[in-house]
Amino acid sequence: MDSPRTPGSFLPLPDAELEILIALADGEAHGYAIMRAVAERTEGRRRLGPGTLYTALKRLLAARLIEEVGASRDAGGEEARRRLYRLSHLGSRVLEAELDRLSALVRHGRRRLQLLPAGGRS
Amino acid sequence: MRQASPAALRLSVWAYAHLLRAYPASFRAEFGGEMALLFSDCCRDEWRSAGAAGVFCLLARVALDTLVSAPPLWAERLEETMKGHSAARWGFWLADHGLAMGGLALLAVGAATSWWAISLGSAALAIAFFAWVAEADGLLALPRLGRVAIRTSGLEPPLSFSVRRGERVLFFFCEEDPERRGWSDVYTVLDRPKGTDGFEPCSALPPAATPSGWSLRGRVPVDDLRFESHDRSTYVTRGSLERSLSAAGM
Repeated sequence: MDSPRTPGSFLPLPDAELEILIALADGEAHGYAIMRAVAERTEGRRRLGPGTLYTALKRLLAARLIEEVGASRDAGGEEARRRLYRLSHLGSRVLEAELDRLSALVRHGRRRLQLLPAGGRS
Repeated sequence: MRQASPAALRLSVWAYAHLLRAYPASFRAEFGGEMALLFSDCCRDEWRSAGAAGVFCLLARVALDTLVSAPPLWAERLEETMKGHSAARWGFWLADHGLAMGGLALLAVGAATSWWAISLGSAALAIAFFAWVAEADGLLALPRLGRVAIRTSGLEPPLSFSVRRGERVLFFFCEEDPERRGWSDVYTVLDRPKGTDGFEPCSALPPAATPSGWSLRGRVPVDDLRFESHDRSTYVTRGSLERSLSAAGM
């Protein structure tokens, strides 16, 4: 049997998956709400299409970084076919590790940039 | 507020329902209903903000999204199907070049037999050509089993990346070379068994020392590896990876 994976073993996360985890950090949401949250956070620059969104959700579910928490009801009160997703405990740890990694990368990049002579990468 | 146009909305939802057939059946069964519902919500939003033109632009965007997101799912299925088959090597090659090879074969057959084979062959070659141009421009990353997706920071060549090879995970990284006043032109290669619990050093930063659970395997010149970068993914070609690892005795 495979041992449980550590948060570091999931990094780096693809863009779409990182966006989804960030959107779910606020609480549970269905696909449409996630898509809206990403569009709002990026001021419309990043729009996840349904294919990109659900292939990423499939991968995150398979990796147990998110979990399904049932279906939401629509405005009329009828049971809609919208499944709600939320961040799992492992998902929160992976998100934190990825954000730390990106911060370290930015710090490292800035340091390198200051060391480089004008003209680019040595 | 504009009145909803049943025709434009219905037409788009109908078209998207057909577009969903581009995904494998198992994926459609799990997410198809939700995707259709999400698309219809987006259509309504677009209609409110931009009218019929917005709805048709959305349909075009979503068609592109389908073109990009469906092939990796088919590639996963193909790879699962071919796992353990001795014909896998030929399968990889055919999967990578099948369209162009099929087009050439049809042209050759058509020259001797009939016009329909020539037409089909020309169409296959034209599609293969446009796919090649789109890939060269980084617009598309078609599933090709002759290349391996790597986890990297995105630089080319990457400073570090990890890749699965059989039952092992390999981690390649460049060390700082004070003489060159930059990065070494040789990758140091670490490996560990797949599925082992342990730190996977696949960040952009080279590790300070060999992490526990990993063993040092050897060194590979950066120039021996061929990388392909696309909008969403980075790959190393299977041929260059295998050749460079064999040359290094791995």
